Formats: sequence, C-alpha cells, structure tokens
Amino acid sequence: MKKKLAAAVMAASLMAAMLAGCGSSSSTEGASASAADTAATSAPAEAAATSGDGGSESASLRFAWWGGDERNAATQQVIQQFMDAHPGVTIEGEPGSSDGYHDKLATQLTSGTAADIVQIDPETMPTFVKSGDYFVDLKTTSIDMSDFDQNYIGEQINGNYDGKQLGLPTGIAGPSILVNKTAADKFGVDLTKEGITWDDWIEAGKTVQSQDPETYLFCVNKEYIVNLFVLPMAKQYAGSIFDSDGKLVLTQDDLTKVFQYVKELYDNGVVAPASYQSSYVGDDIQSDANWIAGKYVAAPCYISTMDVMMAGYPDGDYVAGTLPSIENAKDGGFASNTPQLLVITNTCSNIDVAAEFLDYFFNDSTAQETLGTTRSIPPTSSARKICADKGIIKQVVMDSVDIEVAVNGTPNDGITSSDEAKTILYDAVEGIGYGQETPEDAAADVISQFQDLATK
Amino acid sequence: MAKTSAVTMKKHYTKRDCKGLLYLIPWLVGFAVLQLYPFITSLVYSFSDYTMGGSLNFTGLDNYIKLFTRDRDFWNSLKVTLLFGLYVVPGKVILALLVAMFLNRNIRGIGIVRTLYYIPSLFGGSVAIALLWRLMFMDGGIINSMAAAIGLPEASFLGDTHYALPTICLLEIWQFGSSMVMLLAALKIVPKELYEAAEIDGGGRWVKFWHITIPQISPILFFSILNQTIQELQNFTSPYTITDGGPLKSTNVLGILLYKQGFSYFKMGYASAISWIEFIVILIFTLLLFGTSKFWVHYADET
Repeated sequence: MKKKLAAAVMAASLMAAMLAGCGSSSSTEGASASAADTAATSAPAEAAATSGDGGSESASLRFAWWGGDERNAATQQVIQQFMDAHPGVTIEGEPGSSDGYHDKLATQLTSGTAADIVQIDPETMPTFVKSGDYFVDLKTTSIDMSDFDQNYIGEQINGNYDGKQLGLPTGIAGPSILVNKTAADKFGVDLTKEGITWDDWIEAGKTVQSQDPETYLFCVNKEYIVNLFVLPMAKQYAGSIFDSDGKLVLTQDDLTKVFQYVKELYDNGVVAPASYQSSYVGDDIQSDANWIAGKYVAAPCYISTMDVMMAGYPDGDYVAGTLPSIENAKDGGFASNTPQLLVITNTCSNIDVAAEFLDYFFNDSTAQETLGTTRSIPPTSSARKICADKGIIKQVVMDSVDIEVAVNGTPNDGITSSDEAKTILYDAVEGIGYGQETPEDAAADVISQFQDLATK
Repeated sequence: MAKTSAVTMKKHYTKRDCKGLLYLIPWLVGFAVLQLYPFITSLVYSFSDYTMGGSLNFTGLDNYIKLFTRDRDFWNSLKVTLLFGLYVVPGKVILALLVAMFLNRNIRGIGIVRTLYYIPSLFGGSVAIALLWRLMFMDGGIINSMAAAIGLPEASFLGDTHYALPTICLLEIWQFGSSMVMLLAALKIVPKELYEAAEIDGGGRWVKFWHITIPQISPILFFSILNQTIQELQNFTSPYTITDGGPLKSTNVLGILLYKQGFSYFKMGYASAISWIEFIVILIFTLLLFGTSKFWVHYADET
C-alpha cells in the first residue's frame, strides 16, 4: 500500500508540473499587465524629466529587430557609429529571427520589458496599437521627418495612427516578381510584358510544364499564394476585403473566382504540388531546394526579399516581372508599404536619446550609406539618392519599385492582415491545393468565417 | 489529495513542527507563485474573453460551448492529440523495454552502448533536433535520397496527411532513453532465484518473461506509461517545429491550437479553456491507468 501511495504522490506532482506548464504563460502575463500599466503611466513623467537637457546625456538603451546577417551587421555598425559620436550613451542591439518575434514581443509589451527601440511588422502593428498604449508619438520628439514622403508616412500601414506617428517606415516595399531571364528565355515565356494578365501566368506555367514536368513557373508556398495571388486578385475584384468599419466587402462569387484561379495554379503545375510546398512554411521560401537548384522560372516575392532570393540562386540573370490585373479592376491590388516600422516604446528609459538615435538612423548620410538597402529601399529621398549613386540598389530592384509604385493598391485592412484572417485563407488554399476542397466550398467556408470576424 | 489524507491534524504545533515548515517555505512559495497561482488564474481566464493586453469580461461557459460546438479545429485536434499519445506511448515503452532487456547483460563495453542509446533523450524537446528531423524527412531530404539510391519509391513524409503524424511520432519514440534507464534498473533487481526456480520447473523464455519479468518490473512499467502519457498528451515542440500543425491540420495537436489562440490571436481566455480541456483529458487517462493498475501492477509488499 505504501508504494501505491508513493506512486499516487508522484503522479500528483507530475500533474502539478504539467499544469504549471499549461498555465505559467497566463501567470506571467497576468502579473505583467499591471506592470505595463504602471510603466505606461510613469513613462510620460520620465520623458518630462529628461526633456530640456539636450547635448550629451548618459543613457543605456536596447534596440530589438529581426533580420539576416547583412542587416544585423549594418545595424550594429550604425549603433557603434552613434555611440562613438555620443559618449555616455550605450545602445545594446538585440537582433533576432522573425520566427516567433512578434509572439515574444507581445508578451514583452504587456509585461513592460520590451526594448526601447523596436522593429515591428506593420501588419502586426494594428493589433498592438489596439490592445494598449505602448508607443511614443514620434511627432512629439526631435526626429526630423522632412525627408520622408509625407503622403507615404501619413498612411496607417506606415505608422500613422489617427494623426499620431507611432512608428516610422524603414523602407518602401511591396510585391514584385523576380524573373530568372535565362530560364524564361529557355522555355520561351515572357513575364515582363506590359499589361500582363493572370491568365498569361497560367499559360506560361503550362508552357513550362509541357517542356519539363519537373520545373514549375513559380516558387511559392500557401502563404505566398495568399499574399501575392489571393489578396491582390480579391482586391482587384472587390476593392477591399473589409471596409474601414470592419464590414465584409468581398463577395462569395468573387472569392470563388479567385479560388478557381488558385485551383488552376495547382492543376496546371504553375506552382509545385501542395505536399512539396508544405516543407517550406511561411517566409522559408528562399530555402526551397528547387529554387536553390535554379529549377524555377520566377519567384513572386517582395522588393525587400529580392536580394535574399537572388542570393539563393546567384547564377540567375534577374529581371523584374510585371504585375497582372483583371479587366475593370477596382483596385491595383498590389499595395506598397514598408516592410518594417521602427517605434519607441512607452517604457523607454530615455526617449530623447532614443529619438536622437532614430534621427541619426534615418537622416545621417553615414548611417544611410552603412544601412544601404538592408531594410529594403530606403524611405527617405536622401538615402535613396546615396544608394543609387553608390550602386547599392540593383537595377532589377529599382525596376521592381517602379512597376510596383505604378500599379499600387490599397494596403490590407486591419482584419485581413490579422493572423486569424490570414490563417483562414492559408487553410483554404491548402485545402484546394490538396484537392480536399472545391473552390466553391472553400469560398463559402471562408466567407462564413470572415463574417464572424467582421461582426466582432 | 493524497497529501491531506496523510497528514493528521494536531492541536498544538511544537517548535519542531515550525522548523519543518520553515524548511518547506522555499518550496511552498515556489509552488504558490509558479503553480497554484497560474493554475487558478488560467481557470478564471477560461470563463472570460480576456485578450492579451485587453480587459477581462466574464462570459460564463461561452468559451467551452464554442469549443465543443463551433470550433472547427477542436475535435480534430483532440483526435490528433489522442492518436499522438496512442502511437507514442506504447511505441516508446515497448522499445524502451526491448532495448533495456538487450542491454541487461554483462558484456564488455556495455556501459558505452547504454550511453549511446541514452543520448537521443538528452536532446528531448529541443528545437534543433526537430528541425533536423524536418530536414531528414522532407521531400528531397536525406531519407528520401537514401530510399531513391536503393531503388525505393520516394514518399512525402511530411507533406502527406497520412504520414506526417507517424513521422513526428517516430521522433518522440526515438527519445526512449529515460524510460529505458528506469526499466533497466528495474530489470537488474529482479531476483535471480525466481528465474532459477522457473528453469527447474521447466519454464521457457517466454514463460519467464511473461510470468516473472513483467510482474516484477510492473511498478516501473506503470510509472513509465503514466509519465509518458502525461508528457505526450501535451506535446507541442515537435509538431509545431516540424510541420506547424499541417498538412491539412493532420498534426495540429491541442498544444498548437492553444498556442495559436493564445499567442498568435492573443485570445488568452479561449486558450485557457483549451488548456483546461487538455488537463481534463490527461486527468481522465491518468485515472483510467490508475484504475487498471490493480489488475496488473504487482507490488512486493502486497503479497
């Protein structure tokens, strides 16, 4: 009996340990909500205390961002330059990976432990802005914003929330089609012609498949199909997915047409089979083994990721593809926006110095040259000029910016850009890709789920 | 529960009792802050629509009703979680037992062999090993390349809804070391006389295994099964890292459902409700195991 009791105690303690595993997150989070509150109230007081004494302050700040090696090195270098010019100031860089970055950031923001200067995905930003007062209005700081395009930074997606500049865009980005000209010429397809249509892409895909069943026109996964095919096409049909009041605009008929197109992509081998794509989730598209082997003709990607894709297969001869449209489109569909925002958090220990750093980061010519295009095409005209003069921006990227800006479109609304809405679309595209759902069923399903999101 | 019944109430506490309590304080504080508090808060949250950074409004049983009636992923996730446990727990324990029996002999260098078999368990739950698994089993990965080299057809292990879950389960089963070490220790203390007596009576290997080895190691076997059941039903790292719940949600265990609701959609109340369902599922299985234990678990002091 004694042993049985011992076993029971052991089991009880195991269960307890398990519960701790389940619940610990909510505890840190519950405890931290109050911490964030106090931090938020104390921040303005601190700001008031420090404002007034300009010049050489002593401060110790943290700057968090995600990115690849090149961006990390350039950013660290700019931090060093700033610290050299400002003795007494220490800025600690916290580079990370984009994987799980915003999940971690969400916890840090609620617990008041986020870095002082933080890089944020502009599509995740609305969720944060809605859930709390975490960010400093940069208009109240010393940052000189005159070199930015005022219309550009006035858009919500680029950091302007109800007149408050809660973040500054780090660059100009948007969808682009990176075409490997060597491969395109070999198969005899032209993805660079003016006035290209969505159907032209299907035909080009068929042409490639008929010559080599192992080769696909586009290197994409379900996430890229949603962001670069489904959403642009849906916006061309409907103007926007949800309107500014959060009402669903997209109709089931239009979405059915879009999903029929997705089915055609898979059925005609314009894109690789869904089971193949499932190995490369999310942003992991550049590690697609077949892209690295040069087996695709083109990669629909973003202006900010073109360099990464080109580095994946450096032997390609790259040109900018054109962006398609339907007839009588209500919207360009391909919105340009910044790939990241930089913000100062309300818990920042020295907002003045943080603002001084961001001013240096965006406006100083040495910093502009050091940063180059590591955060996409720079947002300020002065930095763009420097990059073009130094030849840092490749021709294919410049061309893509021109194509993108000419087409343009409405950025994703707050609901569509949420993880929840995106996941609904990813699941639908996956269902179609695996042949588990018909486009009609998938569209009906998505619309009913979107209506749930809209009525909230 | 077990603890309260073991303690008899006293009217007066001696100095000695207080001293005992003093020694217990660090653990008690840790337990209260790190286990009891989250335990209770998550239960409270599960009856609310609390979102991360938002306000807390009580909504009664709404979360649970939504989970059971309207959530399109819940039943699938529950099924996947149970399947996961069903594949991994027997697989791991049987493999651990087989290897433990193989290693339970006195030959030269057996220590090294035992260490080698234990190594995979040291990587337990690590993201790196899960990533390695993904690279090995993906289309064009090393497993497929090897299969192609010897003329076998290639399979989409992680891209096919039928193979993805078993492939991930393999990773878990591979980490059988901790169960193996316990079973090995149990095998070593089975009295030799019992085997000798069986041999004299003409018992074969199977009889010896079934009537001596299994009953003798049954307490540890029971503990292993219990431990693994509790652990595997809450597994998250491997399916999240290897397939992110896909393809077509075929590896979307409750842990991933919970994580996405809580940390991607910030719906903490809903996520707490899922975690409580998960807890109850595990509780049911634990109680079931305890219920069956009296039929097959043999304790020496009960004879």
